[in-house]
Amino acid sequence: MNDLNQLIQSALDEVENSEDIKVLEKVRVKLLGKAGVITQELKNLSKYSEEDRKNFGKQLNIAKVKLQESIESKKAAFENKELESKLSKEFTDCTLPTRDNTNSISKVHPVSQTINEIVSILGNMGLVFQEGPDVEDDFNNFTALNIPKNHPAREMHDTFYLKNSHKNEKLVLRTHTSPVQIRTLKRNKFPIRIFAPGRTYRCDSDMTHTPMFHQVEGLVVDENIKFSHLKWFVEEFCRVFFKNSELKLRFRPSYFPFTEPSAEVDINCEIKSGKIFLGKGTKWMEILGCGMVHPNVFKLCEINNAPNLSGFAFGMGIERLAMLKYGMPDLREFYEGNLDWLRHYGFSPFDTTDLNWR
Amino acid sequence: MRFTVGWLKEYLDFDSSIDELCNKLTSIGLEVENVNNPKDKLEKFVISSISEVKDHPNADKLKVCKVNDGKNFYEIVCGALNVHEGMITVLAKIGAIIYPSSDKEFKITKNKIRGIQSNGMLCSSEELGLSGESDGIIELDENYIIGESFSRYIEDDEIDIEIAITPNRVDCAGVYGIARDLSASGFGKQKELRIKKHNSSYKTKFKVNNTISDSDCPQFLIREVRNIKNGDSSEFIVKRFNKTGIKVISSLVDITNYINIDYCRPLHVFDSDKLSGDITIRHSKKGERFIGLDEQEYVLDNNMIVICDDEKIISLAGILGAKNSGCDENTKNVLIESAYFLPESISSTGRKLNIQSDARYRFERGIDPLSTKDGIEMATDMIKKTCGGEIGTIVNETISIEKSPEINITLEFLNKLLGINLKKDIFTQSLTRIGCKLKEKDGKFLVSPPSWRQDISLKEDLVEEVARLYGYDNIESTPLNFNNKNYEVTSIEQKSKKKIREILVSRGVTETINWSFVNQKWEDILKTPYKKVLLENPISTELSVLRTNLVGGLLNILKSNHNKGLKNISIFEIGPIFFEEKLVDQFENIVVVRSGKAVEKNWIEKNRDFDVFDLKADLIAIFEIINLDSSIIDFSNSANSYYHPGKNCLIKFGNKIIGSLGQIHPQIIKDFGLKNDVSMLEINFSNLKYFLKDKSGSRKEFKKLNFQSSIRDFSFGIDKTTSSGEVVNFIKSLDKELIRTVKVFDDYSDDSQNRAIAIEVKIQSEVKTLSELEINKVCQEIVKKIEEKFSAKLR
Repeated sequence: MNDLNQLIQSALDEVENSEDIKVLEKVRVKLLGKAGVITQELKNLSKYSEEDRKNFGKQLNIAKVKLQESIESKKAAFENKELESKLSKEFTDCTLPTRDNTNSISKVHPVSQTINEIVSILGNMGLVFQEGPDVEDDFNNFTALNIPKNHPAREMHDTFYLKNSHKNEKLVLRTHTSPVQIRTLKRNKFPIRIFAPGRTYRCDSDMTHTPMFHQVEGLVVDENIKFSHLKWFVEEFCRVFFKNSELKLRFRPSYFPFTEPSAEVDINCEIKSGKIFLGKGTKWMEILGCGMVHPNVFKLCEINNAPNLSGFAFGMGIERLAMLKYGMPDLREFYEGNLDWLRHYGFSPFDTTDLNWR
Repeated sequence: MRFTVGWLKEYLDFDSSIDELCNKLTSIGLEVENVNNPKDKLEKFVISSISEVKDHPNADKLKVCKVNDGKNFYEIVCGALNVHEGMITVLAKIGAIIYPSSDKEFKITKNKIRGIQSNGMLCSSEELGLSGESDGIIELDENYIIGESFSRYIEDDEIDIEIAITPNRVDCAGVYGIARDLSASGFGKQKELRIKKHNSSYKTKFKVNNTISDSDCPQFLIREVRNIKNGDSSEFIVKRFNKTGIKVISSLVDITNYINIDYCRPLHVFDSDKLSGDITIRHSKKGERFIGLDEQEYVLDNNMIVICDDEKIISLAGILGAKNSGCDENTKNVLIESAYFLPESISSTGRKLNIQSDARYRFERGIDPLSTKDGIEMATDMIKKTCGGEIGTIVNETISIEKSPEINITLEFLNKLLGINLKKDIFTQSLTRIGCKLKEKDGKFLVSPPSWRQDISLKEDLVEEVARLYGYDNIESTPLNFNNKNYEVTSIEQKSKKKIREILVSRGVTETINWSFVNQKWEDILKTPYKKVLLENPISTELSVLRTNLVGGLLNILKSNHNKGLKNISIFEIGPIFFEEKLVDQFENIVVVRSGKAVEKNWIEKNRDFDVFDLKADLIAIFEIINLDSSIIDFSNSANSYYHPGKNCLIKFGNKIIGSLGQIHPQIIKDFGLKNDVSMLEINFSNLKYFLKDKSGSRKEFKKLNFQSSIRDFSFGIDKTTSSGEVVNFIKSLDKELIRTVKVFDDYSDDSQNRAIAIEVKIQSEVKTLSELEINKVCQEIVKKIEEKFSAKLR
């Protein structure tokens, strides 16, 4: 027994005194390997009497487990030390720059973003997205909108005419998105609830005009549509768009050949050191034009015998909406393709226009 | 339309403030665009007297004055020559802001002038922003009370207001009309218009031969005034013209201009000594020539209204007088013309000849046809007062005076259209106030609008009038919630375009929007084969043709940013292009260009340029985001000539050409003034859209693959021009059950015709784990078939 105790103790000492993981492995083989001391002792057990074998065997097994644990823990200590020493030699300077990543500076054009916002709002209010072509004939752009030839209102639109060889059909670049109203009305299917954003063109170029810009048109035609509905619709749109339930609107009588009564709408604002603050103060900023669809427009679209049919229409400049909301000072820069400007005023594709998340 | 408040007050009595006036104007549809009210600015300027004037000890031309503002004495240095003891003038104290004009404003501060402290400034009328001569400081009489603010003494003619007149409201293109409309809206009280009628002392000798009285010129009146002196205009006209920005010319011309703005009544005056024979009104013949008072020569078309004497055209009716018969300082005898020309005719002529004039502006919008007689009488009276003379008879060639239309309307219709509940008496009052005549029968009204409101012809016009006076802001909003809403707000095309835009931006490409018209030169450089559409009236030669592609605009942006030092650029545009076919056809394109470094130099990995495969990746990303199978895109060589001939391909999908991609031809890069290579992807969205399908609903069933997959790599020696895509598709087709994916992962070629591609094939069964034998069978099949089909060699 004493022999065994002694043997165990000296084995434990040997484990404890191993200098490194290799020595430890040698010690393990010497003690627990196939030809190891403990292994041999276990093999020799058959020589003992049954009672001795039981006793001795038990002690031997305890000793074996104890030794194994000791070796494992010593091994773990060595491995730990090795890892620590390895890691202490490794170092990363986290102030170094990342791989150059240009993806984050690319942007959606503010006009597209603003159109998407309008789609979200007017879509939620029950209108459907319609489009029309940029090239229109005289009828859709003017005549059907109650702007006959020689009408002074034609002069308000500096129209681009196309040099096309088909002389009997004068084509123009649409001066407003209102021809989409005509295209929709001509289908003669009611109710009509549409909006139509898009490119528009006027032969004008200065500080506040570009020869191309964007408008959005809205048209609702149904039985018993009233001017008071129009007021609500426009108020609701503006308050949602500018996210300002305090926004005040002012409706002023105005003139558009294709609506009667017609109105221009202002929103209240304050101008402090050149900056515009919407929904505050007592100054007014023009934001859109609107009115009840003119009876001549219905007639010109061959909508007759519908005495209860009425409708409203409204139109707004998209760049203007964007400028008022996002503060771009100069309209012309929208079309200069200056990447610095686009990165500054543009939007990430993750800047959602979903009404609940924007 | 600009007028002074004093001018307005000639026709309207009111006590309200200028702010209230402006709010009212805007609310009745006469939008105030600008107000220039010196009163606001002169609050801090005080009427003061000068009690003592001494010479400045250090300056010959300066005086030191003791000035009393009624409470205190101030020492003030002044350089004006007219300063004297006992003078009553205006003092601007420390802190006051001087506004001679908006760009010259300055603040009065405590200041030492040549060693003497000056505690303010004595002002000239220019420095007070007033009209009139500025010779020294302003001298006031004893009617001005010392100590009061000078703003209290500002005359109404010093305040001017500019309003916007919409095309339907020409009745307010005259001060009188504005007063009339304000009064109708309940603001102030209109004064009675008194037109003094003079008796004639002789018969005007000119006869009038109106050949178009039944068409374009229903009324034509003339009157001669003899022995007049065409000198300077009266002081009030000069003052009002100066304030409202109208050029002062001569008494006779100024009088016609004044009546035009005052009463919205265009008139013309001829020097009757320059006329020979009688007056004829007729239509012009094509090719006739006419030199206007503006010294420009105009070539007339058929059917323009001209006024002629026996020899020549003396006026382009309602638009512009002729140089040959205009009044000047030597005019002794004047012939006044007051006529009514039909709006359409004036508008058509004005447009064709591109002449803008105050007369045209009013005639073409439809002035009051009943104003001809008033006009000629007003002019007679004013000429008599300022130029003297003897008055001839009025020669009146008037055939018919249009009767106002009668409009049927019910109160119910009005209330229904506006969404209000207006009482009958307010309805009838409103219409009466604007000058309508009403007849009521069985709850229906028959309304005749006044002659000055030619714009009112429908019941809807009457609704607007009533609403305008009622106040748009008083109409309460009614919520509009639709039944049966359409929840498909956007079409699949619209949704797809949005997704494409967003995937491109998230891949590092910035969106741009460019003009739809471009420089013809760009189109020429790109040698696009389509028939182009030109603009008849381009804004400049650089924007003269509708674009047949988006490339030019994008290359132009690359260049302008390049010039600023930005080298690595990825941009795109989604927009329309135009060709002339039957009419003008419009298509929608998406073009992406990338130029410069895809990976800039950095410390982690190797830098590299953008190439065709970055654009191909963009294409695949687009296909994935819009749920199209990019694996069946057909890439075949030879696309547009604006690509590098060896580095481009046509993109076909389902046998439709849906675009192209490649590196832009180096010659085009050079012609656009660029230096770096540019790679481009062009997608014809108008063709692609036919393949779009809505996949937002229920999905296909998910198939789980449980059995082990095996990867095998092959390397084949192939011909240099063999399409690797074809090889890949061919391998896929060999065993559709077991071959899952096929991928080229290396491509090597040397200078001779040797080329090798390395291909990875993934083999997997849906039903079992494949044995080595089964896998090898697939592999052997691949090798055998590839070698046969492509005369390739396994390496």
